[in-house]
Amino acid sequence: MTGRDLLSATERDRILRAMADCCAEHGFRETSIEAVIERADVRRDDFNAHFVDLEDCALGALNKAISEAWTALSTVGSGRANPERLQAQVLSIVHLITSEPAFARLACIESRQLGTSRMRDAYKSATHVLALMLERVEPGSGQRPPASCARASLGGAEALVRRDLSQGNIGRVGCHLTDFAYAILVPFVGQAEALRQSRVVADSATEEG
Amino acid sequence: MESEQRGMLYWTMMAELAAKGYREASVTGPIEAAGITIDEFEAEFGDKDGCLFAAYGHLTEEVVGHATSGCDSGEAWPERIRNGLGALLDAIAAEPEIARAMTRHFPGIRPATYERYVELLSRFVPYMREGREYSSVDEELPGEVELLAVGAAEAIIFGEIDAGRAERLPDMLPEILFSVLVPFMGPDRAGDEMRSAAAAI
Repeated sequence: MTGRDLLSATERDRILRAMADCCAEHGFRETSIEAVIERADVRRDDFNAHFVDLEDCALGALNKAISEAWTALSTVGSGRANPERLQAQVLSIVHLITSEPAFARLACIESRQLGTSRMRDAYKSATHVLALMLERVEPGSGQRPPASCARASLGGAEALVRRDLSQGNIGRVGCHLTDFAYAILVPFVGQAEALRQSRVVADSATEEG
Repeated sequence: MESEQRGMLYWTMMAELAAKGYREASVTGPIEAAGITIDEFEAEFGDKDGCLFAAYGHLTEEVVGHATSGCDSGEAWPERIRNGLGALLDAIAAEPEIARAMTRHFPGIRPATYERYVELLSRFVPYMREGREYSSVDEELPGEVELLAVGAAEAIIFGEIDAGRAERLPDMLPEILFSVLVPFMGPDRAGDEMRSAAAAI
């Protein structure tokens, strides 16, 4: 990669971050290219060099958030079996949300309810894959929960994240580790085991400081 | 403005929002449908946003009232949740475009309108609290288990409305009920309730 490429990559990242920040403050519908380039401190030509239009830029920011989530999930999941894998994955996603609240808002709120149909499609694909990953958890008792259950249990955890993000209480997301782990595990492993594993997740976070 | 006119104005305003989206939605049609003058409209609401917020607040009360009316009977909590959820799903299936306006178009206008949607969901949280008494374990359940249950149902309902399949929702009552009950009762007992609801359908 040449110095020019590096500069361009940095510039693109700066625009994506500005896009996420503008959406977090005003919503996608009220965000303009002018506001993004001003925040990113770039020229219109620079923006045009990377993106076709505002939606293209929002999709770029959304895909960045999703790809970082996948990277985090696969990195911490690698070499681990359940339940340790799931515990580590819950921790890594919560860490991502709390460290990048604007991107988290773009992924969890803007793309789901406020964005364009292409943004919604990207959100739906990501949550569909997450639900499929969750369905691989072996049920503790004999019966498999209904088909919509994985999506629903993720929805429960998302509702908490969305409430905190929309109220600007990003610090609270990290306080809900027990709830997140419990929500996604209880349909599959039952209450006692889900409570036990959610305590392990909370303890791991405490140990990590 | 008569209460009937106000109700018509709110309803047609949300239908206009669902049909045309926020930018294109006009107050002209709703004003005519309600049989009021533009002066009356402006005196009461100021502008389109004022009317939309009032309409959303009014319909929120209707939705919550409809869904929770079945929760006040003398039946056991799981039955009351089943009745309330059933009433909600029937109402959504009967008016899918209004449901779409309530879940996507209005919340999608800007962050302030999205907050109203979050508030709407939080209105169901108190009706979940009694579920803690049905836990299969002695330990205290996580602090936000009520919102987890509401969010679980919302995820399925939102997905079906968004996909244009709201009419399917009443048939999905058993599996949505499972997702609401499972944080409180565990998968085995929630499964029993699900099968009972399916048999009733």
